[in-house]
Amino acid sequence: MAHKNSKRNTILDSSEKSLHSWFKQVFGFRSILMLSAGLIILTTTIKNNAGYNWAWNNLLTGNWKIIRANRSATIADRYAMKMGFTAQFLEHIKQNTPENAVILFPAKAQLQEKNQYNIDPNIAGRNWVLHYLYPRQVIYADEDYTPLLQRVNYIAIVNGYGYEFLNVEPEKRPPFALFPKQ
Amino acid sequence: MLTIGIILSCLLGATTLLSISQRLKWIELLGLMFPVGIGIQTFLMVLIDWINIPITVSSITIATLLWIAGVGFVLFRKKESVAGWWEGVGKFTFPQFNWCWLLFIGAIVALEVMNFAKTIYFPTTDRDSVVGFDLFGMAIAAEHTFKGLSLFSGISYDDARGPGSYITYTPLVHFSYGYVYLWGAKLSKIVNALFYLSFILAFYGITSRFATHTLTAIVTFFTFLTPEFLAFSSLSGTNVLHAYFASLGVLFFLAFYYKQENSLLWVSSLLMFFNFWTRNEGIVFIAPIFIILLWNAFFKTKNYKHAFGFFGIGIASFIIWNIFLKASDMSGTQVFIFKPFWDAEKASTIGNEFWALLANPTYYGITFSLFAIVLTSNAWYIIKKQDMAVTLSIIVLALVFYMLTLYQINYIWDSMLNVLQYSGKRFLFCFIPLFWFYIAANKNMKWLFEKIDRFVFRA
Repeated sequence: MAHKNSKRNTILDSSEKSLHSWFKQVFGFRSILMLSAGLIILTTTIKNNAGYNWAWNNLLTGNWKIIRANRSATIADRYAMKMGFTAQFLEHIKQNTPENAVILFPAKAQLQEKNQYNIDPNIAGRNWVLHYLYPRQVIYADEDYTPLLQRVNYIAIVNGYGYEFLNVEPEKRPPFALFPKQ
Repeated sequence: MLTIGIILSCLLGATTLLSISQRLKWIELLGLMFPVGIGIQTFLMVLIDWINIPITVSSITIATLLWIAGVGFVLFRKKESVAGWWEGVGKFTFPQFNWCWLLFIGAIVALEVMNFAKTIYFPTTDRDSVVGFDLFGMAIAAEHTFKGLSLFSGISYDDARGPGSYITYTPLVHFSYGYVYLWGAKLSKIVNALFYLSFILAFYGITSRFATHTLTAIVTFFTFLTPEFLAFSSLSGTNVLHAYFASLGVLFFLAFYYKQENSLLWVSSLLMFFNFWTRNEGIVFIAPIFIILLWNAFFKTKNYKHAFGFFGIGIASFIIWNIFLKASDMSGTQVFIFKPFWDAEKASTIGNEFWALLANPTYYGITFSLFAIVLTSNAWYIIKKQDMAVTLSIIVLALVFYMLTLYQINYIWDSMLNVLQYSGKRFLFCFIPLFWFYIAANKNMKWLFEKIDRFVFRA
C-alpha cells in the first residue's frame, strides 16, 4: 500500500512539473550547448576525414539520389547500371536460351582482349558467368571437354569472335550475338 | 512469401535467445533475433542436406517449427522469469531528452535508411559472391541440396576442390542466401541489409550497458559510419556478417564478465558458434576468451564449467561443418600449415601491413587514432586499476592470433602482400566495434560523459 502511494506521489510530482521547466530543459542554454558540441563533432570529423566524407557524400547520399531517380528500374536494369554492356549481353543470352542450354563462348584469351564495348574480362571465368546464366552450362572454345562440347546448342559471339563455330554463314555479323547451333 | 521466411527467422532467433537469457534488453533482442534465427536455420539446412532430405521451404519450416516447439518448452519451464523480462520491456522509458543524443540517433536513422535502400537496390556484383556465395545460394534454392549440386560435377564449376575454393567456406553465408532465394527473393541482399541494421541495434544495446546514452549514440554513429565497414555492409561478402558475430560475441562476453550476468556468457557462446559458422578464422576470437575464462577459473573461481562450456559451443560449428564436408566428400586442398616454421619476410610483411591498415584513416576513419589517444590517456587506470584490462587483452590476443593464422596459411594462389593489400582491410572489420566499445567504456570517457550528463540534466 505504501509502495502504491509512493508511486502515485511520483506520478503526481512528475505531472506537476511545469511546461516552463520542460521548455527550459529542451531549449535551455545547456541543451543548446550540447547540440552545438554534437554538431561541431559531426561536421568537423566528416569534413576533415576523406573516408567519412566519401561515405557520407558518395556512398550514402550519392547512391540515394541514384536510387530515387531510378525507382522503377528492373533487376536487369540495375545489373546494367553496375556492369554496363556486359550485363545487357548476358541478360540477352539468358532471355533467349532454355535453362538446359549449353553455350559455347570464344577462347578465354580472346575474351580478355581490350575492346570498345568494355566487356568485363571476368566473362572469361566460368564461375563468374554462371552467376548470371545458371543453370545453363558454359564451355570455352579453348577447353577440351568432349561430354560438354558434344552438347553445345548455342554459340555466343563476343567481340566478333565465335563465328568460326557456326555451320551456316549469318546474313549479318554483329560483334555481339547469340546463335543456336544448327 | 519472403516476409514470412524472415518473420520465421526472427521468431526462431527471439525464442532461442529468450530461452537462454532473460537478461537481454529489448533492443539487444531486436538486434540479435534475425542473425541468430537465420544462423540456426542454416545449421538446420546443413543437417537436412546431410540426411538426404531435400532443402525446401517445407522441410526448413518443419525443422524451424520443431525447434521453436523445443525452445517453447524451455520457455514454459522458465515462464516466471520470462514474464519478469516482459514486464521489464513494458517499463521501458526513453533516455532523458538530449539534443546531442537525438542528433546522432537521427543521423544514424537517416543514413541507415539510405544504406538499407542501397543494399537491397543494387544486385550482387562483388567477385567473391558472384563466383561463390551468391551463386551457391541460387543453386541450393534451385536444386534443394548443397552436397549434391550439379555445379560440383564435371567441369561445371572451375577449381571446385582447389586451394581456397569457396566449396570449403563455412556455410552461414551461402546457406542464408539459399534460404531467402527459397522464399522467393529476387536478390539475396536482404540478408546483408538486415544484418547491418541488426548490428546497429545490438551494438547500441550492449554498449549502453557500459556508457551513457549520449556517448553510446556517438560511438554507434562512428562505428556505423566507418568507411570501409559501411561500404562492405552493402556487398554480399562474408566479412561484415562475420564481424557481426565475432564482435558482438566478444561484447556479450564482456557484459557477462563485468556485469556478472551469467546467462550472457551463453548468448556470447551462441554468437561465437555462428562466428565460426561464418568464417574459418573465427577461432581467433574464441581462443582469447577461453584463455581468460581458464585464467579466471584457475586463479579465482575454480569452476571450469564456463571455460569449457564456452569453448565447446564455440568450436562445435567448425567441427560439425568439417565432418559434413568429409562425409560428403567435399574437402578442398588443405592450405593451413600445421607445422610451426619461421619465415622472417612473411612475418614482417604481415606485421607491417596490419600496422599500415590500422593507421589508415581513409579505411577506418578516426577509429584507431582515437583509440590510441584514449588508451594513452587511460594508461594510469589500466596499470593501477586494470581498467578494461580484459577488453584490451581480448583485442590484443585476437589481433596476434589473427596475424598468426595468416602466417600459417600457405597462400599458393596469391602472394601474402597482395592478399593483405587488397583483402586485408576486410580482416579488421571485427575489431572496429571492439575499438569503439573501448572508447566508450573506459574510465576517463565514462567519467567525462557522466559529468556532461549531470551538467545538461541539472534542473
